Amino acid sequence: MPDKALIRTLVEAWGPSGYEYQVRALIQKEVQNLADEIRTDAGGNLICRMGSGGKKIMIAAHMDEIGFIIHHIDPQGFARFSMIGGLFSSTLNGGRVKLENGMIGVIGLDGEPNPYRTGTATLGDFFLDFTGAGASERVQVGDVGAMWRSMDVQGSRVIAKSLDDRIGCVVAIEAMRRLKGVALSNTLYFVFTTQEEVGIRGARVSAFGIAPDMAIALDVTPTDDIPKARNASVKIGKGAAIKAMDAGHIVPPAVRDLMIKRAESAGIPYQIDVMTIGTTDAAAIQMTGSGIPSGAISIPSRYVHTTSEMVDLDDVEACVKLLIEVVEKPLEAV
Amino acid sequence: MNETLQTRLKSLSEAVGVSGDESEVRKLILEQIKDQVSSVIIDAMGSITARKAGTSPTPLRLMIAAHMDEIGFMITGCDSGIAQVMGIGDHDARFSAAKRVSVGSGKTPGMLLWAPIHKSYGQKSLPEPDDMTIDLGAGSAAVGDRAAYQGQFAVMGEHTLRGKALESRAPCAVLIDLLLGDALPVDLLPAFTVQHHIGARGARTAAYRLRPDAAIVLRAVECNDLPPEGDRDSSERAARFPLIRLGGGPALVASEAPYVTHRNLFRLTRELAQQAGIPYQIDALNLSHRTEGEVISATAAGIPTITIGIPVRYSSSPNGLVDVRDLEHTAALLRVLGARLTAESLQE
Amino acid sequence: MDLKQHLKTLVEQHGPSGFEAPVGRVIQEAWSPLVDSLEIGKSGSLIALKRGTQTDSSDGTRRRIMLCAHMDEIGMIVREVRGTFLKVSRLGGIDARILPGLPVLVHGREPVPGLIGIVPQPTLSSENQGVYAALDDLYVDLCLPPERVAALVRVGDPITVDLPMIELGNGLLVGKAMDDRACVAAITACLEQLQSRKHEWDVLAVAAVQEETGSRGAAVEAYHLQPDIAIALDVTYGQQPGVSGADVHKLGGNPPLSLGANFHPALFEAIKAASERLELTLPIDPLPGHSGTDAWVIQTAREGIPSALLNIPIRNMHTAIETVDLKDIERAGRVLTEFITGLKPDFLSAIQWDKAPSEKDSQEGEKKDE
Repeated sequence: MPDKALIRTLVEAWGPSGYEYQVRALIQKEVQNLADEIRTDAGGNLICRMGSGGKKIMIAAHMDEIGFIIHHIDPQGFARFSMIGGLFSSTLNGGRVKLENGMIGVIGLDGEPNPYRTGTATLGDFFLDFTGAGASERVQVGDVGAMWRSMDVQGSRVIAKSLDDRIGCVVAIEAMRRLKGVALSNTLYFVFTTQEEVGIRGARVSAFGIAPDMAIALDVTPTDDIPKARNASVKIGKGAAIKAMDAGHIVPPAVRDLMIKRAESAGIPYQIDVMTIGTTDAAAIQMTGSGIPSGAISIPSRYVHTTSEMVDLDDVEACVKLLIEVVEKPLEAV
Repeated sequence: MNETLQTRLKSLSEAVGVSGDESEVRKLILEQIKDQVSSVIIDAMGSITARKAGTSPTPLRLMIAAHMDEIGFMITGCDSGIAQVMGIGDHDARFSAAKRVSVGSGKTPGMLLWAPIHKSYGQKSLPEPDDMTIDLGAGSAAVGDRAAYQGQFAVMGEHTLRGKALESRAPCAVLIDLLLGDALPVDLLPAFTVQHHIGARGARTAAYRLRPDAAIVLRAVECNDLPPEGDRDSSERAARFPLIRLGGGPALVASEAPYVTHRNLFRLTRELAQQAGIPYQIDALNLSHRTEGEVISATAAGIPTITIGIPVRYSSSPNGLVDVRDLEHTAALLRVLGARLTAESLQE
Repeated sequence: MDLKQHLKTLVEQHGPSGFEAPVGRVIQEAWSPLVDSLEIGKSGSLIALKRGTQTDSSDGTRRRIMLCAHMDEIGMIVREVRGTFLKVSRLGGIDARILPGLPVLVHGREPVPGLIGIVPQPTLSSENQGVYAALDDLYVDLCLPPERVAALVRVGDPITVDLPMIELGNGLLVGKAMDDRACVAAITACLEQLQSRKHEWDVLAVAAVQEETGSRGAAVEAYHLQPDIAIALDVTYGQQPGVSGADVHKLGGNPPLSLGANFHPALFEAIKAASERLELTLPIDPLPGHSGTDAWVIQTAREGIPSALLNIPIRNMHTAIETVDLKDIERAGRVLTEFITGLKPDFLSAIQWDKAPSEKDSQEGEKKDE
């Protein structure tokens, strides 16, 4: 089963888009003895090669998380912010934000409590409260923050911030651990990418540098198993999700079918992922250079982009197994 | 699948017969029934009535009505291949955007024009049929020409037929089937009626002419069997409307508000269906428009009337669906009724 | 070749965005006798090469023009299997309002015919009365038992409208997927004419994938092929009641040529001049910014590619009754042919922007490029 301690280490780490260095250091420590070669490219992506020969397969999981950037702070210590990546105003009120220096800010909403509020609050209606903590010295315009909350485990479910996409990183690391010492048919590039949440930017440059024959993104996907869901196709706890399409990417049928075939022959539970909102690193990779056939293995996740993202450990395990099945053996023509 | 029924329904479905201009359908039906019936009359409005004599020495006279007409459009003007139209019948405009139609007796193809999504994004409210325009290319149409949807008749799955105007032509096909079969104890008085879609008008004059002892209206009932949206807005729909399933058998219509089906005729029909092991379902409709059942039952001194519905999905669409087994079961139920209906059973 | 029959074959074949292989095979069959070689790009786009008569330059390079029309069509994709019925998401910008009542084909383990259904009107809640159905309201009705559906259809299978091409008379043709197969047909017409016309430049004919989901095929193939110049072909709005704007053009009024930031002005002029040699006047299609076509991404591939856009007007765009005038397709083919046969080896110097300030600067610029 997946390493819960590793999950906790990564999800509780601090790393909004563009500020992934703390996460990168943690991952580098984990994979130091697993890869044949490790480098960090100009985009901040951590690139770990395992094996040589065969096809070049890139496996991408992003290290960054959504966050906040402070654009104004008043003398009392109330800060206004812009978003890094997709923040939903319905999920913010009462949350906590951690700055790079460890300062904690509480997310407040103008004029609350107000039982007579009408309409939806917009981001401009929220502020971060740093009052009473020496804010004037320790918080500046331009400081970057990430949501903060510790991880909980309940049965087979993990509930935490930043499972998007540290759980993808965990799948990659877990696969690397199990592939260590195995004779590989392909050259594998495990890439821990940057800036996915702000326009899938890290994957784009790292794919250009590696120029792989095929790529697989590891990322979370929303589920349709909560009341009134309608933008997704998968359910939590029902296995690894093999992507067919999302808002930025139609997986080539040959890549999708290869994954399905490998899942079926290995008896790994899987489901097909069609989502109409959001996309993954694979969308950028497929468009790099002359085009790179790309697919994605998705980890079904509820409450994406909140501090209580939820995944099922059985799904995570299925994703690890499926990834290994796909990359370990020779690829048929894709 | 029943090949005879399939072929018959295909030719009926592909014929064009918009309310007030049913001649193509009428000719098709006359051709098929002429050797089986006597006293064929085409009345002043265009409905067909006839008689297939019963085997009983004192046969009960049973009228069975099915309408021939379908919804459509009338051309009101045509300039440079673009025709203006008025709607005929109760359109469900959710089905009309960018559909193909046939215009006039020559069935000239035409297109219901539709502004590209890039230029009409956000337009959510439905247009009135009168605001639609038909592109005839270089063709032209005369004022007064009728236009009907083009359907794509096909077999789907094992038991289902797809096509246009099935709400009208499936009942016609069943009634023809009945007339082509063996004589029954009762006198069968078929009425293929006109102008159903603009107020059940043909049924009125046909019933007045025939003055039967009892009447059966054959028509379509709209299915209400699409799966609910998970835990979404399903409960309301299920609670307010009877569940009519495609393939669930003929629907005995208990009421078509404001008209309530003849109580004894309804009970008898239900009992006979049960005894004969014919699957059936019960419908109770709350309609705003006039129906043949309402009109016939109030004709002359009053006529005991029941409406038997054939389940149709998407009845207002260019392509509806019927289940052939429903057609067969409806025909079987009509035969049982024709064999067992007595004057006593109609008395209060 | 009978252009009308060719177009019929193209539009009746299926190839929604991301799943273009079936229509790709049809185009491959039509193009393969007309060209020297064919390849399928990494994106799945079909690339045909027809070599010109030029001799290789000293550094082995050859002048090449890319003609690009997209072969994908808008469609739907299965999001959920619910018994006999399917729920769907969009593939490209399909208009949910035109779908109820249309026959479709579900491209499952085998093709399964379906019909787009909606719930009966009286059962709608009051706020849903009088409005069009949205995509989420649609059901794809397969009329099959649930276990049969489960065996045939999976989440992620694509769906397309299934209707034949028909003729309205006077050359007006109606069908699905005229966007952009009408332009594929124009390229076919051009390739056929080039069989008997001498041309010096190499011609790269591209039937691109995934235009409707963001010009993904054209972007990577322009990068891959590095042509010297490119002409994209796409449909534009045809004149019809209720549709207005400067980008609306008369059917049968010759293919409009686009002018704007997306297009190299000298290339525009050169194509215009070629059409004038044929005594055809091409309407100008003003597009100040984003053209919404493959030309947009081709222009910015690698270090930039001088690009143009030739249009074919259609009525009822993004519906199952896209209407085109065959004359426009035929003329677009002739304009392409005339332009290509007129291309001289030094054409690139004829479409330079303003002259560089000095010899020295431009030499430095060239060095940097190498």
